[in-house]
Amino acid sequence: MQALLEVLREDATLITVNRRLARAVINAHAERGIAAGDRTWRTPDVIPFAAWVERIWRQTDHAPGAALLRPAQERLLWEQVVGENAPAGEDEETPLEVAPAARQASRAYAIVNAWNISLDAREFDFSQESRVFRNWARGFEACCARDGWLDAGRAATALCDRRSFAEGTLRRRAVFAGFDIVTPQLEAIRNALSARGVDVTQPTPSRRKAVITRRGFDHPPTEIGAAAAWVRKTLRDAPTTRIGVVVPELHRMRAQVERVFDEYLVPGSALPDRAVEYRPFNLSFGQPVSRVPVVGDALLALKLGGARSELAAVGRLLRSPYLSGDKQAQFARAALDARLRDVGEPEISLRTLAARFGRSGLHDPGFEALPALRESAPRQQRLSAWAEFFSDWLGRLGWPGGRVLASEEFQAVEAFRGLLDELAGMGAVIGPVVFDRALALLLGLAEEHVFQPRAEPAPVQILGALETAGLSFDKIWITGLHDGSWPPSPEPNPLLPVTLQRRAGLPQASPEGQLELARLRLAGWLESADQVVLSYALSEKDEPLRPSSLITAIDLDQDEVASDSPAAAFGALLQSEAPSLEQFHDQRGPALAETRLTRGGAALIEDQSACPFRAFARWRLGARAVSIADSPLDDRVRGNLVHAILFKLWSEIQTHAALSSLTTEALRERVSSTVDEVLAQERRYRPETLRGMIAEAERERLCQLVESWLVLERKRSPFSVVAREEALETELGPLTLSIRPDRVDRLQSGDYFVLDYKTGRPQVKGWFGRRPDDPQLAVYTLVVEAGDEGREVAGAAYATLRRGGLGFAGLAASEGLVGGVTTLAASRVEASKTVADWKSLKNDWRETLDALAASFASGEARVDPKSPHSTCSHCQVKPLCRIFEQRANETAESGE
Amino acid sequence: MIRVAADDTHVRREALDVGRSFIVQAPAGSGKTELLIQRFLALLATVAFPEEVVAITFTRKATAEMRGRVLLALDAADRPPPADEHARRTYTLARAVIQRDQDRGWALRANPSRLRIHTIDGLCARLARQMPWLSRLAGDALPVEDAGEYYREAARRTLALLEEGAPFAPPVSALLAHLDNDLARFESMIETMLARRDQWLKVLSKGRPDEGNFRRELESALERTVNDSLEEVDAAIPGLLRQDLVAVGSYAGENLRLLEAENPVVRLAGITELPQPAHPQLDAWRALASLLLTQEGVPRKRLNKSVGIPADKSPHAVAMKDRAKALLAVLSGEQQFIAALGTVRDMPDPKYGDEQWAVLVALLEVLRFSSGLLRLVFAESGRVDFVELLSAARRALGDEETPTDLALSLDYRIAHILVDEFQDTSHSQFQLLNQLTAGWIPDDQRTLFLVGDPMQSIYRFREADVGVFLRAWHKGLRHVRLNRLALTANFRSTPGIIDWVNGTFPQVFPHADDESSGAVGYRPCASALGEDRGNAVALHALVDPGPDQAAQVVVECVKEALSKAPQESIAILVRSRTHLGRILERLDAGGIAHRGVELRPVLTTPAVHDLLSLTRALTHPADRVAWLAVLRAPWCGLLLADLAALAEAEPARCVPELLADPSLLPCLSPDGQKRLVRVAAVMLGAMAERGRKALRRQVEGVWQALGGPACVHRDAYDDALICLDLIEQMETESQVVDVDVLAHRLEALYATPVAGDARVEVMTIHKAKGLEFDTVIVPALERAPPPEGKRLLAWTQRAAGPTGTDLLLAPLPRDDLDEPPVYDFLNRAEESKRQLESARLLYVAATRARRRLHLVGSAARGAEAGTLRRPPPRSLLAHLWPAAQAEFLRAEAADNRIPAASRIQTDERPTGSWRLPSAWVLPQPAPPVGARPLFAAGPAEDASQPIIFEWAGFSVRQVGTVVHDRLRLIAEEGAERWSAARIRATAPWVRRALAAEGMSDAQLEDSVETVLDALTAVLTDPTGRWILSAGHQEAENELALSGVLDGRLVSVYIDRTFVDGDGVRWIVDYKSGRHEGASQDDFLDRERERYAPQLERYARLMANIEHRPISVGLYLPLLGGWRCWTPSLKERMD
Ligand code: SF4
Repeated sequence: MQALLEVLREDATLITVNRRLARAVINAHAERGIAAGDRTWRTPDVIPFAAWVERIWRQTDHAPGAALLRPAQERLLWEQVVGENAPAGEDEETPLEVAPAARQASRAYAIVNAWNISLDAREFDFSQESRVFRNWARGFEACCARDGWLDAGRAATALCDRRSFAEGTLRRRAVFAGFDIVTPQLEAIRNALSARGVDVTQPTPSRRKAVITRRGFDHPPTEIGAAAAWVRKTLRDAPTTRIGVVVPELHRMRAQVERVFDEYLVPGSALPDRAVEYRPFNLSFGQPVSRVPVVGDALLALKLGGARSELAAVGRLLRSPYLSGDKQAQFARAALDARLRDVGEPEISLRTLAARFGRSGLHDPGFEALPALRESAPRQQRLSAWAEFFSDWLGRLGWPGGRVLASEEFQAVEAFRGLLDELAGMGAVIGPVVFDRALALLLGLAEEHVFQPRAEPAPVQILGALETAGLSFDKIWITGLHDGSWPPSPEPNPLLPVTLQRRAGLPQASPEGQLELARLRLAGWLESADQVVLSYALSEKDEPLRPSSLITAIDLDQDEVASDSPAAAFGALLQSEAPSLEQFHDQRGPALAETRLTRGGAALIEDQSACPFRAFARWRLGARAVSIADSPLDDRVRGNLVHAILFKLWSEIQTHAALSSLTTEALRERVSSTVDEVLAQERRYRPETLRGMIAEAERERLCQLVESWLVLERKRSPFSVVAREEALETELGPLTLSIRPDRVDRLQSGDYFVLDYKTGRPQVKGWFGRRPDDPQLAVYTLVVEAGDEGREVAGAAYATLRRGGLGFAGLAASEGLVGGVTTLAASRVEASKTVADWKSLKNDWRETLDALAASFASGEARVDPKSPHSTCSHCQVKPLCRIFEQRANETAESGE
Repeated sequence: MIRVAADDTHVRREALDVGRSFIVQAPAGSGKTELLIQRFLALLATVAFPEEVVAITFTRKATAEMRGRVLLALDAADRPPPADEHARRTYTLARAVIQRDQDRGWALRANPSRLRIHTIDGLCARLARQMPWLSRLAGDALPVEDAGEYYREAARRTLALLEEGAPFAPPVSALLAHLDNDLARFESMIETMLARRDQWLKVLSKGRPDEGNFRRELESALERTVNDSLEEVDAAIPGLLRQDLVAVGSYAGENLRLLEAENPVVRLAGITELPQPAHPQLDAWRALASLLLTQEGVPRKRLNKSVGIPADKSPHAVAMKDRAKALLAVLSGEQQFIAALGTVRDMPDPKYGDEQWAVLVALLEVLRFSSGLLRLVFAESGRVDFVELLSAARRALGDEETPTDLALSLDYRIAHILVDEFQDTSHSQFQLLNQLTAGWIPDDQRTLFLVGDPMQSIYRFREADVGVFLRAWHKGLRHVRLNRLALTANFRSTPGIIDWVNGTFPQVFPHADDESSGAVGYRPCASALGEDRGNAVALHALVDPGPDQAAQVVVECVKEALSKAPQESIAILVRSRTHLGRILERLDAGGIAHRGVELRPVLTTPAVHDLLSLTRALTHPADRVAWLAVLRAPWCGLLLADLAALAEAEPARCVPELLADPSLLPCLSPDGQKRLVRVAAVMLGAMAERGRKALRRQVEGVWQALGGPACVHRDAYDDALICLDLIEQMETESQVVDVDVLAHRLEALYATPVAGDARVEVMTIHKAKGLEFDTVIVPALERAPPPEGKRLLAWTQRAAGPTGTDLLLAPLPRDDLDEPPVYDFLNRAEESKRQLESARLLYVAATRARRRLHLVGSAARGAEAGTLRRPPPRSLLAHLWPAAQAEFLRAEAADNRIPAASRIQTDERPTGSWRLPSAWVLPQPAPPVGARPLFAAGPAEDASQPIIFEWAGFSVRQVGTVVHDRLRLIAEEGAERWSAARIRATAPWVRRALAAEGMSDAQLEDSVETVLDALTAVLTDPTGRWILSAGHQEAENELALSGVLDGRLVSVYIDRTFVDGDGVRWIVDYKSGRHEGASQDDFLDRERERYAPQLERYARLMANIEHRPISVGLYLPLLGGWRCWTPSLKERMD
C-alpha cells in the first residue's frame, strides 16, 4: 500500500483490479493527507479497471461509433441470443434454462476476449458444448454489429490498439495495481499505453519479513471464533492496528462471520433498540440487493401486479415495516394476513386482496387503489415506462414507509433507484414488453446487483481470498487453508475447449495453474503484513480435513490466543451468570366473571374435556395460532359445505314424506341446484380455489355424495326435520352457551332424534366417561331436551357423509329408530357395555357436562391432556401450555 | 457349519490386477477399504493423469476418509517400509505412485484435489456441470439435500395452473375424482412421485401414457414379474413330485368340474403335464396352489372332497387318495416350494383394471407437467435436487447406443472407475454406470471395480436395491465383463463371533440370491484372528419382562464390559432411537457416561420451543398464541391471572397492541406489572426495528435482552444456538424464513453430543455401518417399526433382462371400490423386500462386534403354558426366531423375572415451572474494541424524516446527462471555437448516446432537438459563453476534489471552475432542471435554495486550498437560467 501511495502523484492514473482496492487506496491516501495536516486535496485518479475502460471509451467516442453496452444490457442481449439459438428439439423434454445459460456464455465470452482465444480454432469443433457456444458467440457478435453495440470485453481489447486513446484521456503515468493474474489482453493494453508514451508501472510490494504461525481447529466455527478473539485481543492492546482477516469461503459464510465478529468486537450489538454507532470491521462481501429487506419488500409489492401471488409472500408484504401507515394500520394488515391464512388459499389475486381489505373492515387506501392502477397500464410498454409505473405503484403503498430510514436502508433505496435506471436502460436492447417480463427483468437485476453498504474506514478488514490483492496490514489471519479447498480444484469453463484454455494459460483451467496461483497468493499474504496467522479446520460437518500441504512446512504455533475470550458471546455470559430461578405453580386462572353468554359453544366443552388448559387458552385468552391450512379445501371446509347443502335442502324438503315423493330426477335436480347455490356462496370466500376444474370436481363430488345420502335417508322410517342449526341458548352448569345442533328430527313416535353431520370417521366410543372425546352430541341432546318440558330425545347419531362410508352411527333408546342405530346393549361399541341404557347415558351426560362447565367457570387451567399423544398432536395452543417442559425427558415417538 | 478359508491373500492379490474389471464381495470386517485404496494406488501408477482414476464412495464422509487414507499412504511412502505384509503391499503401491508423480510432475501431495474421489452425487454434479448444454443444466445451481419444499411447490403450482392449461385438464379431473377431490392428497401424491422422477420419467419417454403401447409396456413388466415367479415355483418343484402333481391335479379337477364349477382347481382337469411357467398359465398354477395349500399358505393336512379328492371306495379313488397322501408327505419337507407356491396363489393377473389404468394414465400425464414445473421452481430458486443432477448427468452421457465422447467433453478422460458400497446402489445409479462405460471395449485399458457386501444392503429408503449388486454379480454389466472375487477373511471379529454368525445367519437369510425380490443368501466368512472362541455371543432372552428390566440388562452388560476391559469400546445399537426406551435414563442413573450420536432431538428442549415462539411473535404481530407464549415463557413468567387481565377482554386485537396500551397495565398484579413492563419494552423496541437486522441476530438479541439465556442450563443453551444457527442457515439459503418450515426442519436436528471421553456410544444401526466396537449390545430386538400407512401409489422396481429395470405401479384404489389385486400385490412385494432388509440390518448390527455381542430381546408368554407368542412380524427378533426360540423357551421355563422389589420406581416428575426473578436486570455487555477512524466515509443521509420515493423524469435526466457531457467538451476547447453549425453536426452522436440509455424512439427525436437547442442557446447566451470561455485563468472541468468536512470524507466533482479577470474564483455547477410556465424566476430561486448546501461544500473545499475570493453559480442550460452568489463558508453547526 505504501508503494502505491508513493506512485500516486497528480500525473498518474492508478488502475486497480477491483473496486475494493481503489476504495482502500483512496482512504489510505486521505488518512495520510489528514495526518499530514491537509484539508483539501485533488482526488487522486484511482479507478477500477472496468470503469477505466468505460471512461476511456466514453471520452474517446466523439464520433458515432458502437455504443458501449452496460452490464445489464449485455446480459439481456446474451439472453436473447441464447434464447433464439437454443435449438429446441421437436419434443424436447427438458429445455435449456436460458438465463443461467446466457450468464455462463457471457462469462465464457469474457474469457475468450481476455485470454485472446480465437473462436476460429478448430478445437471448437470437437465437442458439442463448444460448438454450441461458438454459435452463440457468433450470434452475439452479429447482433452487436447490427445494432451498433460493443461489449465491455471487446472494448477492452480495442484498447490494445494505441490509436484507441483520444487526446486528453490519458495521464502521463499509469499504474496497475493488484493484478496477480495478467491476461494477454492486459499485457497488450499496457504495451499500447507504453507506445503512446505513457509511463506504465506495476508497483512491487515492499517485502517484509513476517512472523508466521499456523493453527489448526476442530471445526470452521471454532476457527472463525478464534480469529475474532485474536482480533479483539489485538485491538484491545493496540486499537489502531490494521488487521486483515481472510475467509476464502466468505460468500458462503458471510452471515456467520459477520455475526461472530460482531459478537466479539461489539458485544451486545444484537440487543434491540441499541444503535451501534461504530463497528471496527468491514466485511467485503455484499449480498444481492434483492435480499436487503427494504428492497425485498418493494419487489414483493411489485409482484402483486402479476396474475396471482403466493399467500406466504402476500403475508410477508402485509407485515412489511416498509409500507405506509401508523402502527394501527400495520397491525390491521397483520390481522388481515392471519385471516387470509385461515382461509388457506395458497394463492391470491390482487383483486381478491383488495376486496378482502374492504370486506374485513380494515381499509387500506394504498392496497385498495392497486387494481385500478394495474388496469390503467397498457398491456405492453417500454421499460422506462414500466420503471415509472413501478415507482408509482410503490408510491401508492407508501414505500419505503413511515420510519426514518437507517443509513443502510437509505443506501439500499438509492440502489433500487439505480435499478430502475438500469431497467429503463435495458429498453435500448428490447422494445415494449408486458408487465411480467418487465418485472422479471427487474427481479433479475436485483438478483445480480450486489449491494454493499458503504464501508466506513475501520481497522479490521474481512476479505475473501481474491480480494487481498495489493492490500497490506499490520497483521493478517488467513483462515480456511485446509486441503479440501487450498489449492482449489480447477474449474475450466465448460463452454470452451479445455485444451485452448490451458494453452492460453488460464490458471483456473488446470490443476497446475491452480497450484501455481495458490502458491502465489500464499506468498502474497506472507508478505502483506508483519504478523501472519495461517489456520485451518480439521473437519467440517463430519468430514475429516487436513491442513493444506502448502502450509504444512510452516512451524505450528501453540499458544497465541487464550482459547475463549470472556467477551466471547454475550449470550453465553448471560447463561453463565444466571440468577437462581424462582419456582411457581400456575394451574388456575381467575374464575369466570358473570357474563350473559360465554363464547365457544360445544367446542368449549370439548376442549375442557380434552384438556382444561386448552379451553382456558382458547376461550378465555383468545389464543389462536397463525398457520397456513394444508389445503384450501380441507376437511373442515368440506364438512361445512356438506352442512350448508343439507341445511338448505332440508329447509325446503322438511319431511321424509316430501323426500319420498320426489322422483329420482327431481331429487337430482334439487341437489344439483342447491350444491350450485352453496358453492357460489362459498366462492366469495375462496375465489381462487373454487374456480375452474376444482370447482367442477367439487360440485360433482358433492352432488354424488349428497344424492346418495338422501337416497339413504329415504330408506328411513318417516320423520320430519324440526330444527336445523338453530342457535339455542342453554345453561350448562354455571355457563350460558349458545349451541347449534346440526339437525333435530322428529320421529313417528313423537320423540326427537339428534344428528350431527360428519365427513370424517366419527367414533361413538368418544361419548363415554368423565372426559368424553366427542361430547357435542351429548351437548345437543341435553340442549334439545332442555328446550321444552317433556321433550324426549330418543337417540343421537352421527350422519357420516364420506365416500365409501355413508351411514348413521350412534345410540338410541330402542332399536330401529334410525338407520343402523342400536341400543346400548346391542351396540358394537365396547364402552356402551358400561352404561345400562340410553336413559342412564343421558343422566351421565348431564353430570359430566355440568362438571366440565363448572370446571371451566372456576378458571381451572391444568395442563392435563386426556391422552398426551393424540390430544396434543393437533393442539394449536401447544406453545402456550408448555407441555414440552413435562416431556423434556421423553424422546418423541418417530419412525426409523 | 459352513467353513471357508481364513486366508484369501490370493484373492486380494488378484484384485490388484489393473488390466481387468472386478466385482468384489466383501463381507463385514474383510478390510475392503484397504483393498479399495490399494487398487486405487495401483491404478494411479499406470495412468497419464491422476484424474483418470475415479473412485465413487457412498457418503461425503467416506470420500474425505478415503482421500485422507490415500494421502496417508503416500506420506508413508517416504519412510522405510513397514514389517506387516498387508501394510507393505500398500507401501509398495504408494511408492510406485510417488515415482509416477515425479516422472509426470503431478504434484499430487501439494494438490490433493487431483484425486478424483467423489460421492455419486458429486460425480453427477461434475459431469453435468462440465457439459451444461448436453445436460441442460446451465449455471451453478446448488444441490439441496432435502428438496421436499420444492416438490411441494411444484405440486401446488400444478393445481394453481389448472385453469390456464387446458391440455392437462382432463387427467387432472380424473385424478381429482379418484381422490375424492382431496387436494392435499393430490399434492402429496405428486410430491412423492416427483422425488422419484428419475424412475418414471424414463417410462414416460416410451410414449404417451394414453397410447396402447404404453399400457403394453407397463403390463408386460407385470407379466415379466409373474413369469419370474412362475419360473421360480417351477424350478422349486421336487423332480419326484412332478408326475404326482399332474395326476392328482387332473383327477381333482375332473371330480370338481361337475360338483363345484367355480372351484379354481377345476382348471387342472385333464392336464397331462405341469403348466408352462408363463403368465397365460397363471390360473393353472393358482389352481395347483389352492389344491395343495390352505388359505394361510401352509400345506393342507389332508386332501379331501372339498378339493376334489373324495373318500370314495372305488379302487381308483383309493389309489388316488393314497397318491395324494404320499404327495403331501413329500411336500411338507419342501419349504422352498411351498413358499414359492404361496406367492403364486396371491399373484394377480398381469393386467390393470380399466379404472385403475385410467387413473394411472391420468397420474402420469399430470406428472409430466409437474416435472416441468419443478424444473421451473428449481431454476427460479437456483437449486437442484440430486435426482436432477443424476438425470442431467445421464442426459449428458447420451444413450448407450450413441454415447457422448467423454474424452472430448471432459477435462480428463475417465479410464478407471471404482465403486464402494456397491450393494447400496439404486437402479438409476446403475444405469449411469452403464452409460459411463458405454463406449468401453474389452482390453482397452479401462477397468471397473465394484466392491460391496450384499448382506449389508440397508439403504432401501434411499432407493438402494440390492438386486443391482446381485445382477452385476451374476450377469456383469452391459459393456464390461466383470471377474468375480469373494473375500472370506474377517479381520475384525474373534472366531467366537464369527462361528455364531456363520451358524445363525444361514437360518435368518433366504436360501439363495434372487435379484428381483432382493433376496440375498448367506455368505460365510472366517476369522483371521486366532483368539479364543468362548463366550462371545450372549442372547439375553427375557420373557414378559418388567418395565425396566430390559434396560437393566443392558446396563449390566455395559457394566460388565467396562470392568472387564477398561480400554475397550462399547456400543449400544438400536434400530430406531425410539427403541431405546429407558436405557439412557438408566445409564445416567448408573453414572455411566455415554455419547449419543443424533439421539436427542433439539425439540425436546423447552428453550428451543420458546425461541420458536419468540421468532413467530417477532415475525407476526397477529400470532396471538406466540405472543402469549412469549409472556408466559420463563424470561417473563406472567401468571394466567395476569394474562387474563391483559387479554381476556380483547380477543381480536394484536397482543403487541395491548402491550402498548397503558390503560391495561393497572389491571395486572404489581409483580405482573413489573414483568410486563420490562418485557414489553424489549418486544416493542424490537418491533420498531424490524427489517434492520438479520432475523437470527434479531431473535438472538431479543432473546438476550429478555434474559432468555439466563433461564437455561448449558445444554439447553447449546440447543438454542442450534436453533439460531438454523435460522441463520435458512436466511443464507433464501433470505426469508418461514417459521413453519423452521419448525419442520428443527424436527430433524439433534443435540450435539457432549465432548469428552465417554466410552459407551449409543447410535442407530444405520449410523454404525462401517464402524466396529469391542462390545456391541443390541437391545429391543422385539420392537418393530411403526406400520406404514396406505401409500397413494404402490410402487416397486425390479431388475429385468440383463440391464433393464422394470417399474411397477398401481394407484391406491378408490375408497368406495374393491382393492384391485395389483395394488395389493405390489405392496406385498415391497413388504417382503422390507423384511429381507431388516434381516440384513440384524446382520450389520451383529457384525459390528469385535469380541463380544449381547442381544437383548423379550417375548410374551403364549396362551398355553410353556409356549411363547411369536415376536412381532417386523421385528429383528422375528428374523432371529428360528435360532433364538429355544433360548427363549428355556427362559420361559426358568422364569427369570427380576423380583418386583428390585425394580426402580419411576421418579416423580417435578411440577411447577421456573421463571426469572422480576428484579432481574440485563447486565452490561463488554465495551467494544478498536479505534474510531479519523473520518467517516461519504455524505450523511438526511436522517430527520421519512423519505418519499419517486422515480420519474427519465428522459429529462438523460437529456441532462448528455448536455452536461457536451458542455464539458465545449468548455475544454473554449466556447469561442464552437458554432451552432458545429453543434448541429454532433446530432448523430447525441442520438446514439440517448438511444443507448434506453430512450424510446418516440422521445428520441424530440430529445435530440432539446439537446441541440439547449447547446445552441448556451452559445448565444452571454452568461453561457462567459462560463465556457477559453479566456479564463486556471480553468478546469470536472475538477475532482476531496477533503474532510464536518468529520466526513467528501469527494466532489466541480463541473466548471475558473478565475475571472478580477481574481475571483468561480465554482459553477450545471443543473438540468426544466420548468414550464410563468414564474421562472421563482423556480430559479428555489433551485438556488435547494443546491446552496452543495455549492457551499464545494466552496469550502476550495477555500482550503487557495485564498482567492470565491463566487458560486448554478447554470441551467435548458433554461438558460443563472444564479450566482458569494458563499458563507461557515462550518456546519450540528
Ligand atoms: S398441547 Fe396438550 S397439554 Fe397443551 S393445551 Fe393442548 S392439549 Fe393441553
